[in-house]
Amino acid sequence: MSNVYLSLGSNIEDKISYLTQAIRIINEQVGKVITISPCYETEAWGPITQATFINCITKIETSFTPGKLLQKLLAIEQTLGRKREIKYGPRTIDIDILLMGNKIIRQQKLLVPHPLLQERGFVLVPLNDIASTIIHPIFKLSIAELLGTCQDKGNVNKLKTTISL
Amino acid sequence: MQYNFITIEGNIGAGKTTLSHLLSKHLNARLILEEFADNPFLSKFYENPTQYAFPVELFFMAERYKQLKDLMHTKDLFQNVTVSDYLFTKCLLFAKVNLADEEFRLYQKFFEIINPQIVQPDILIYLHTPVQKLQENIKKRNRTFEQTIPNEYLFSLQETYTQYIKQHNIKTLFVDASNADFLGNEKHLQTIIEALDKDYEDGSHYITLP
Repeated sequence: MSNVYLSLGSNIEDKISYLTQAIRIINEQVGKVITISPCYETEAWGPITQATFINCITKIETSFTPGKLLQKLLAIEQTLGRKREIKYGPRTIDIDILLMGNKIIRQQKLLVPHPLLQERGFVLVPLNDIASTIIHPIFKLSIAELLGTCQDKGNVNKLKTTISL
Repeated sequence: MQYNFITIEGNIGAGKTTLSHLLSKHLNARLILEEFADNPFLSKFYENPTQYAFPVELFFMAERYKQLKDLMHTKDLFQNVTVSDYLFTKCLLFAKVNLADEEFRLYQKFFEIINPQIVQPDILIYLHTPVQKLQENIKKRNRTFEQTIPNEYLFSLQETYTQYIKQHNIKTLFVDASNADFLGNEKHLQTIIEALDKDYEDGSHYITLP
């Protein structure tokens, strides 16, 4: 069994509903959901105008191997109809593996810990809510310490709405 | 290789131009490079960012548009591979970091008029380099006006790039360039060339260098 932290994001309405559905499917098919972080909103920007993103983190327990876990999560993204009609457009659901216990995995399709974990406010802020003392296996710093040095932490807004199973 | 138009992006000092040169030589491709030396506002901008941000970014947008438009109007475009060391979106990205809100909105208006006319690359190679390494590279290449760039500025650019790639699900070879030495280590270029032989879904695909 390993403790896995997943980052989820959506920017198609109903975002909270998509996030909830994804977490429920994860709980049924991938591993027991232990904790769900508060939700945060991040502004979208770029050459194609998009809606804001809502992100959250969930901690799960799973017996899947890393490869199997990745495959399963991709299938869930597809089940929930990640819209592909608009290139570089909005997405119903996006799931990233952040941490798997203390594992360090360096494969082309799977990098754990997630290579940009330490740079993203929308990942570190919710992760810090539920796992501030967890140590990053490469940097050997806690999530709270990583958040302290992150430049991006001001770009997220906490929502009152929370997700439950 | 199936990609006709490859763009290399990254922060200031990440090695975009070096890799573009090497890759275009290897692929016998047409090369499009940013012409920063012609921007009369650039050195003034580094001395006084608030005052010169708007003209510096406007000048860049005009120059990039001209270069990329020429590319479209050349007949043999899709018989040849093209490699460039910037995305047109770079205009908006730097504007977002450098301009005040109202100026940014005005800039964005111009950008949105022009952007649909621009050819987008088939694949993006993003060189992701830690800020400390960027500072070393900037020191090494020794362009006078770049020597006082603060870390915070490089962090903001990095963040804006990665956010863009993530939010828009851009088809990207996301290269961990912390140890990159494309000139000194042949294997590094080889890794990129091999990665370009494969087909990818949209989104980031992480590449580490040996």
